[in-house]
Amino acid sequence: MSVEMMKAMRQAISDVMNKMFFLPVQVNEKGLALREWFSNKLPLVGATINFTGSSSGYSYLLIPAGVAREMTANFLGIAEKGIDVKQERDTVKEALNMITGHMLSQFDRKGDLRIGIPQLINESDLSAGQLDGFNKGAILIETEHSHIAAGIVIKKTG
Amino acid sequence: MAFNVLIVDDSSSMRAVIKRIIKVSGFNVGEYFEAGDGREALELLSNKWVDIVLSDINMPNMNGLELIAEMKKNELLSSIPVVMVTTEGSEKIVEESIRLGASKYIKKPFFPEDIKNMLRSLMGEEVRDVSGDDESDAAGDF
Repeated sequence: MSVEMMKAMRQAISDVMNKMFFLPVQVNEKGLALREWFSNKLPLVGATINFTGSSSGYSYLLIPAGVAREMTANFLGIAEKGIDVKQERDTVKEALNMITGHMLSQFDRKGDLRIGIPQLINESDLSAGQLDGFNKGAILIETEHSHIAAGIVIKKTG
Repeated sequence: MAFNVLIVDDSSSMRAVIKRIIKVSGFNVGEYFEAGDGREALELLSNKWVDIVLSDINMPNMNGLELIAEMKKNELLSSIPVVMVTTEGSEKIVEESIRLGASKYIKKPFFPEDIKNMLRSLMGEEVRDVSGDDESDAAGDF
């Protein structure tokens, strides 16, 4: 990931989490592997989204279920106890959609890159043993009470 | 006079958020309609009267730009204002939206005031709660 794209991604994460989910976040620079970062935070809800154009690749967002519930409650303006799994998953997908779109709009003013439709990551791919598959391009993020992670992986550059 | 709103987004959470913002802003809304993509929206528009459409761009089956293009081809639907509420913020997409006839755009992430100010400017209606009219760069005129 280029320095410029990394900077845009960090800014997008912060903007979206603050503005839409009322969740202040801070990037953690420790460079831990994701299995360490999420060591006692499982299970996770994850989503991924492809982008194509002059560059292509994908971005992803990994969020502990408890944080996903908190985000959903903040987003929808309802109590956590009234939230179901479908709403949590939809919120995580929409959060990634906004982060990726916001990031690309800062990075790609000419609109050469097009984003796809966010997809959920299978739960089986988010077990502790499988998390290393997401280490590439990962940005570790601290919330007030927990951790999340996001990342962007470039497959082809123009 | 009450106006009807159609919210088009493939995220049910985002539709709920936009609906809640409009509700708490105190507008005199008659009915809220929702659609998960452009195709569903067109189907709904064929048998319900809608005064304003708020639509995402990036959706499956039929995206927001295709939805505007279809609406502009239809004499009954062509005058309905369409506001793009989207993560797509590149100049190319904005220009394409203008060319197709979108009235305004709001870029996600947005503040609730962006939705409120946009509706007030398009529908020309006073809101009951006029607090929090802060300026924001997330919404723009075409």
